[in-house]
Formats: sequence, C-alpha cells, structure tokens
Amino acid sequence: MDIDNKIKELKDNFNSDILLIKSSKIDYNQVYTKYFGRKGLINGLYLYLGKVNNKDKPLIGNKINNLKKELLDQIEIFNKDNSSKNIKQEFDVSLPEISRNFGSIHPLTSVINEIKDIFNKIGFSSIYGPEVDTEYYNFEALNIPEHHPARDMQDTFYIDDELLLRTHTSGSQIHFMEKNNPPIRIISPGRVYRNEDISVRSYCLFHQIEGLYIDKKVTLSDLKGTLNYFAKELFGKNVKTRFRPSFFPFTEPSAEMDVYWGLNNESDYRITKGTGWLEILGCGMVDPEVFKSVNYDPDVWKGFAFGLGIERMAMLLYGIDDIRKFYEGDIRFLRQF
Amino acid sequence: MKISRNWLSDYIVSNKTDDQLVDDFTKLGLECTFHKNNSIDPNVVVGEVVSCIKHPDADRLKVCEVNVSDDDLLTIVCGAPNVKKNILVPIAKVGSNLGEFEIKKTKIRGVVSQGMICSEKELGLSDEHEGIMILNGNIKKGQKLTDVLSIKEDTIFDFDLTPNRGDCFSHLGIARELSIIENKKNKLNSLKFSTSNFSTSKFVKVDIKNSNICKRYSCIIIKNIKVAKSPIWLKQKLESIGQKSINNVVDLANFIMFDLGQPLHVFDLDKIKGSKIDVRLASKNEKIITLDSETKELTNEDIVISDSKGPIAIAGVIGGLNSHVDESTKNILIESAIFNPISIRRTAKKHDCSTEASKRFEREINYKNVVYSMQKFVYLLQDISDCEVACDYIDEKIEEQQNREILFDVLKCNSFLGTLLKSKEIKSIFNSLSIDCSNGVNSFKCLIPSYRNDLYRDVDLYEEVARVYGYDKIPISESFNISLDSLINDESFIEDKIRLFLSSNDFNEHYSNSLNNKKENNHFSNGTSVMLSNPLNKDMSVLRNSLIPGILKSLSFNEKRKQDFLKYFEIGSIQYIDDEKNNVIEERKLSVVWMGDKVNLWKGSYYNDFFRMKGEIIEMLSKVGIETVVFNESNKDYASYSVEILHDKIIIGSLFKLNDSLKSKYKIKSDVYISEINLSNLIVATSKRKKFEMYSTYPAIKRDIALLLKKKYKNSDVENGILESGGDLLKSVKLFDYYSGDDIPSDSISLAYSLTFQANDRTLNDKEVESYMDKIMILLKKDYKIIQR
Repeated sequence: MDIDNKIKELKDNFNSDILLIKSSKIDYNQVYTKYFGRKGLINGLYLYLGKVNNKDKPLIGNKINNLKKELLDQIEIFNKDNSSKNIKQEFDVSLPEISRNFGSIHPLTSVINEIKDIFNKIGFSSIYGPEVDTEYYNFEALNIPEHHPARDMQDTFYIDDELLLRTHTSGSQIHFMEKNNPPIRIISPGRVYRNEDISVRSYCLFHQIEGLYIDKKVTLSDLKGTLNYFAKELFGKNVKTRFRPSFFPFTEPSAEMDVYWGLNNESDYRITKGTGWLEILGCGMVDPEVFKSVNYDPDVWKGFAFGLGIERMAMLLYGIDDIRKFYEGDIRFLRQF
Repeated sequence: MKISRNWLSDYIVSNKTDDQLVDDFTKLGLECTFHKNNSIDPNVVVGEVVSCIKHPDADRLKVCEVNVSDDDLLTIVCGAPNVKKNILVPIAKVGSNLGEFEIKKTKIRGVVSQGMICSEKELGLSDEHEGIMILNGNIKKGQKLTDVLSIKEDTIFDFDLTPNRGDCFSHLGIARELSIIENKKNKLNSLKFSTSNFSTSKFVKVDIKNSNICKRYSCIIIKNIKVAKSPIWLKQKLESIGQKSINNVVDLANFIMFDLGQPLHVFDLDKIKGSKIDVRLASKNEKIITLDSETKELTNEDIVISDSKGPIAIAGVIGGLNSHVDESTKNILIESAIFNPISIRRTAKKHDCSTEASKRFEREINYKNVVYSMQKFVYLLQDISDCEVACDYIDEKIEEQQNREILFDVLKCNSFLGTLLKSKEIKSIFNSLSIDCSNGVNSFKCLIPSYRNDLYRDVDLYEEVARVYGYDKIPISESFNISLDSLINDESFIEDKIRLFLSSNDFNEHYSNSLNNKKENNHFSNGTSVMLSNPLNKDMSVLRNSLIPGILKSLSFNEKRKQDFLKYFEIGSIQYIDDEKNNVIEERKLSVVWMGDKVNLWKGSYYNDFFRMKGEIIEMLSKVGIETVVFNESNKDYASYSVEILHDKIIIGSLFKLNDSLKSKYKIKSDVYISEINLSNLIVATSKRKKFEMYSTYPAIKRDIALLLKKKYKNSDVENGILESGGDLLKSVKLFDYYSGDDIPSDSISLAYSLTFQANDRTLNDKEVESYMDKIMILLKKDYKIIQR
C-alpha cells in the first residue's frame, strides 16, 4: 500500500473515531493515544518513513507532517467545542476554596485609627503618655484638688499615695504641655482605668481619645465647629448634633455633645433614655487653672479640649451590646472585624 | 437627686409638659429624666365598716361589711389586726388598680370578697403596712380618697447633678433654674410663728472652737412637742422622692433639707448634758455611737458637736445615738449650720458614711439660707404638732459673709464665646440668674447671689451667659487655622505597620485585661509586679508584666469552645518595677501566639510548627525595617525549647514552644508557640530609611550539594561555613532537604543545599564556580567533618 492510501485510510478512521467520541461510544483519551501516543498510528507512519528510500524521504516526510498537523488541528477544534462539557464532567468548581485566612484588626484599634485619621486631617497630631502616672498629672494639674467632689466622677486605682492608674488621658496632655510651647494641637489616645465593677456596661479599663487645641484666638464657636466636623466624619454628613452645658474641672465652660440617634427600636429608647439623643463626648474651653499649672499665661492663650470613650463609640458603630466582648478574645467575635 | 413636680409648684408653676421640661433643664446643664408617680385610683373610696366578724374558716381573717354609699354594702375579707366596727377606711373597689395590681372579686376560704381595705403601703403613701389606714376628720363615705387627702398625680424628675452645682440640691434650687426657663420669679412665703417666753441663748451657749471648721452655727429650742406619725402630706412628699417616713420631727427636718438644701439636725434637748455646745475637732481616740448603732473611732480630722460630756454628733454627717429623738422626746434643739466642705467629705469617706446631709455640705451651703431654713422648720412644726418655741435663737458666725463681686467685660466674653452679644442681652441673662449688675455698658460689676458657690471668675460668668443664652445658639465656626509648628510625628506608626502585616497573615488582634492575678505575672517575666493598693479582686490585683497570660487565657477560652487552630497577637503596655531605682517601668510589647499544630483541608493538611512561626517573625520584622536578626538558643523554664531574637546584638524578643506544665496551668491541650517582641527597642531600630540596592543583570549559576553531617553540628554551622568560604559571588544558600533515617548513620543527618552564584559585572563560567565550590567543600570537610553524598 502506498503512502497516500495509508494516509487516506488513517484520516477516514480518525474522522469516524471522532464521531464515536461525540456519541460517547468511545473515550477521547483512548482515541488520542491510538493516534498520537508513543506507539500510536502517527508514530507508526514515522517508523515506516525510516524504511523508505532516502530520495523519497523528504516528500513522504512532508506528507506525514501535514497529516499530523491536520489531525492535531481537528483535535483542537474538537476540544474547543467540547471543553465546557468536559469541565462540567471532570472539575467540580464548587469544592471549597483553599484560602490563607486573613486575620483581623481589633474593633477598638479600628475605631481609634478612624478617629485619629479624622483629627489628623485637620492638623491634630497623636501623642502618648504613661498608664501609670502621678496624682499630680492625673488630678492636681487638671484642677481637681484632693477633697473635691469631682473626684467622685472617677473611681481610681491607686498603687501608693502618689502613683495611680490614669483615669483619663488628660494627664498625657499636661506632660506634653510642660515640654512644649503653644500653639498646640494634639490628640492623646490610650488605655485608662476606672475602679468599677465589671458588667455589661462597664469594665475596669477602657480606651479614650482626648484632644487639646491651644492658640491665641480660640473660641467656644471654634470648639463647636471642630466637633461638628468630627461628628459628620464619623456618623455621616446628615448627623444632627447638640451641645449642652456640663461640668469638668479642667474646662470652663464645659459641654457635652450629643448626636441625634433616633428612636427606631427598643434599644434606641434604652441607650438614649427615651430622648433620641445620645451623648458622644465631653468638651469645653481649657480652664485658666490648667494653664497656670503648666505656666502658660491664661491672658494670652486660649484653648479647647475634648474627650471620648472608644468602647462606647465602637459599641454604637458596630452594634455591640456587651463591653466585655472586647476583652474576651472570642474568635467568633474577632473574626467579624 | 429626685425632684417632685408638685413640690416645685409650691415655688413656681410651669405649663410645660414633662418632656419639654426635661429638655429645657438639660439645655441649662441639668441632665435629668422623669417618671410619672400615679395618683391613687379614683375607685379607691372612703368606706365605713359596719360589721366585723371572725372568718368561719380562718383564725386570722375577718369578714367585714363595708358601706361605701347608702345603697352599696360590700363584703370584704380582711386580715389586718386593727380592723374593727365603726371606722372609716380606704376601700379599693373591684376593678381598681393599686400599682400593677388589679383588685378582683375573689373567694377567700369560701367567702366572696368584693374589694380590699388598704394600708398606707398598699396605697403607695408610706411604708406603713402594720395595719389598714384609718381615716379621721370631716369626711364622708363614698368620697374619693384622692379628694380626701388632696393627692394629685405627680412627675418625679431624676437629676444627675454635676459636682459644681451644690445650689441645685433642693426643690428651691431647681425652682430657681425653672424660673430662668419660665422667665418669672419664684415666690417665697413669709414665715410667721408664735413664740413663748423662754430663751435659747439663756439655755445653751454655742462655741465654735476652730474658725475654719464651721462658718455659721444657728440653733433654736422647742419645747413640749409630741413625737408622732407624720401627717399624710409630709409622708407623701417624702415618699414621692424615695424617702422613708420616721416620725414628724425627723421627717420635717428631712423635708427642709430636700426643700431648701439646708441639712438640719434635731437633738433631744434633755439628753444634752450641761449647757454648752461646742463645735470642735474630735480629739484622738474619741468615740461615738452613731444613729445606725455603729461605734466610730474619731480622729482630729473629724468635726464633732459636743456637749459637756463628749461628742453628740459627727457634724454634718450623722447624729449620735446618745442625743437622738425618739418617741419619748419632749424638748428639742434644732441645728442649722455650715461646716467645712473638705472636712465633711474626708470624714464621710473615712467612715464610709456618705449621707444626704454630707453630700450637701460637701457641695457647699448657701450662707444666707441658714436661719431661714430653721425658721421654716419651726413654722411647719407649729402646724403639725403642739409645741412651744423659744423667743430667740443662737446664730454664731465666724465672720459676716458678703456676696462676691466679679468684674465683667462684654468684649472679652464675646471673643471667648465667639458671639456678638450686646451688653443689654447679657444683663438680662444676669437678671434671670438674680445676678445684680452695676452701671456700665461694656464693663460692669456683677454681684453674685450667696447660693452660687461656683461662680468666682469671669470665665465662670461666661459659662452662665452661654448656658442661659443657649449653647445651641452659639455660632458654629466653619474654618480654623493650623499652625504647622504644632505638627509632630506619630510614634505609633510602627505598631500600625505590624498590625497590618499580622492581620493580613491570619493573625487576629486581641485586647486583654491588663490587670492580672499575681501568680500569672510570675509565669513569663521576672519583672517585679506593680500592685494595686485597692484592687477590685484578687484576680486583678497587679498590672501585667507580660502580654502572654492575657492571650493564653483567651486561647483557652476558645479551645473550650471547640476552636482548634488560632493565631493571635496583641500590642500593649506592660509595667514592672525597676528594683534598683524603685520606679515603675512601662514598655510597649508585641505578643504573637499560635495555638494548634495542624489544619486539615480537603486538599491535604498543613502543619504548623516552630519553623513556620520563625518565618512569620522574620517576615514581620523585615516589613518594619529590621532585615537582619539572629536567633540564639536559650533556656526558659516555661518553654520546651526557645530562642532569643537579636538585632544589632540587642535582644529584641523571644520565640518558644510552651511546655506542658504551663499549658496545663492555662488548661490548653494544643501546641502553643509564642513570640514576644519589645517594641520600645524596635522604634529606635526602624527609624532608618531603606535604600535601593541594584541587582545583577547577568545570569546566575546554581549548584546543589548534599552532605552528611554529624548531629553535634547545626544547620547554622554549615550555612555560615558555606557563606564564609563561598566568596562575594555566592548570593544565597538555601536548605532544600533535611533527612535522618535508617539508611544513613544514626549519628548523622543528611542535608541538601542549593547555592546561587552571580556576578554584578559579567557572566560567570562553570569553571569559576567550581573553584568556589571546591573551597566550600574543603572548609566544610575540615571544620565540620561532612561527607559529601
């Protein structure tokens, strides 16, 4: 049989085999091996080529090469047509992903960073101070003398007669003011402690961010402007705020800022005591006594200060109803953030 | 502090709703909430007991027939001991509500009862529950009880007062604030009472021994009183603000305190020994038994009221049992005084005896209200009891106190608040506060009323202006300056970088309580614990000196809840005492913990061990700029094995596997790997900026070597040997196989390394590389006796 016949016969067989695959009578891999395997029919032709006369070799070789190319092309076309079908049969994409899990950043860190970013944008730098501080920095320098009822506002953990666990981060601001001259524009995030029984609403420690701005012309109106900006950044442009008088020994006048939370469900009634307004932060104009304790001239420098609790913010923003969840370390809690 | 709206209306009547008032008070800086005090149900009426016989089937019950109107006779079963025929009693008819409780027709031991005869407690009038309430006077059966007792529905405001507003600690004080809201003045009744012809000052002498303990001490004697139950109106007023009724004299003194803010004290005159009352500091070792029958040991910081024998009261805090008013008291002495607020506070704290009186003294008392308060007591007492009042009273003062004057500048105020208020507006605000202003437009003197003990300086007045004007009306500034001088670097940037890296690599950030049990502080650090002098409990008595116990506790918590593979980290402060300098050291630490050793996935498991953890730490440190670290083996009694991590020869942390004894202390079963890094040291190390290094563009040549190494040598020996002898062109050495087993000698391990050579300026040839490889092999054979495989 000459080579042309061999080629024609092989082609015919191949075409009918393809049809058989399509009708699922034989397996694709079987057919592929039959023609293209190491002992397949195409390689058989090449073996035959080794036996022909040298002068015929180029021509016959060329014919075999063309045949191989033609059949491979057909295989490719066939595969393209059937590829989707094949995947469905052999590859289950619904198997679970292999993921390297992402971890999580604690919600308190996220809230601290969010608030830091808001104030950083308007030029407040972050400073830090010690958690163990002295009576002087935590109280005296902030116009809270020893036997003043204002001390009752903060139950304090003491280490000895002089050292205590700070009850707010305001002490860090006194440290900072002692070392720097105004103008000053700082926020001080950090952990603070209160000697209170642990419950759903209170913990023996929490985190605070307190801010301080001191310059020559600072007004109560500036305070309102700054904190209004803050509320809008944190709660959205449409937030409603209100300021009402309050008392802190280190500010005069003192105020508390509320945001309108609404009364949409039972929890809203509980957390807003039925008023719809939610207390967000305390603030005020720096009391002249504080300036005196860091040797700033109260007739030259004016300033405002504010402070807010991070846990409280995080509970509001994420809808967490038990403060202890922050410290339990339950993975089912942490993974949500 | 509770305030009754009905009581307030004795001073000023407001037409606003409760909600509006809460809002208005809050805007003035007096935060409050309210609840309704329901009046008595109109279905509670006066009834006459017309017959009263023993219940046929119960010894303690009686069956009464009660007439509530001419044609309405009710049968009611009653258990009260004082029920009898021919008395007038309050009847809760079927269908009426007492609090949450609805009265229904019921059968009691076979007898149908058509209502209830009520006690004062059941009606919410007082705590009296010994028997039913018996009504007297000119009243008719069928009349509504609310009409008989003139009881109205009331609103109780609960104020959360700030410590500066001592002046608001009474109904009068709140009424003054209400007068600002209503823009009208309070009415104060004039007090007229009759006196007898005996004298207080001839009977007793008052001596204030120490000028700074008591500003003013007034007292008056009243004789032939009758101590009895209080009238309903008094009981009801005290009840409405949560105070228990005791007797008419004590109740009235309490009433005055809640009404006017001045605490009064009543002594049984006949129990005062001698004719002298001293206000003095207690002497050391003096004792007093107080009203609550407790013996208090006094010190020379406590102010006492003393007769010739000794203390009869701790001034401003609590009375003594030896002088208190009881049922047999006939003659009394009423004290109205002002004591030093700091002393009172110290004493109340020390004796753990904070009272309604001490709270008011701590917050300072109105100097000009002392005598008026005493007089109002006398005036009201004459109304409710027989008594004879002395014709004079004692009023000892250290010095006459004048009202303060503060100079006020309108321009300064406006520039402080950011407002444009006119002098006239400000003066009208001061007028509403009863602050008198002198003439002058932009600058004038303000005369502060005696009850405002919180107003001393011009800024204090700015606050008054702002709060009455309304904080909400103060304009909101829409721009501000940033002085570039005030910008400084954030020291915590490295912590955020670490957080970002770890949280992107399956680590979860944890916050733990920084108060530990003392035992836990001994587990991972030798640093002497910082102890609290007033801890909440034993388990939170020291500040943590390591972050590890906190994380382990939480891992244990999770393991119990069937979580088996967890990676945690925490960044926080730890404290310990520097024993040499005896001061507290505070450091920032990072703790990374990995619990569990295997994660099973459907495509095969993935293992977790010391080397993976080591990899994470190296990666993390390089992310914050620490490229070269050295791990040195160390011995820790909490670790199965451990290394110290060094950078620039400084120890920056440690890495270890927790041993079984510590695991069992924290009740953890899985493997635990821990690394603790001292961030305070890192901040110094990472301040350098990275510099770009050019890499070679010429091809690299790789060579693999396999060798047998005696077990006494370490991988690091071989690696360092290769690096030392490989020359500058050796770019990297990587271990790719580690094996020990049956087919190699038992004292050896098989190691295979892949070495990469590369030059920066040319293409290397094989021959050159071979010469380096020869050098390497010579050194390894000589120094570490390796056998090439």
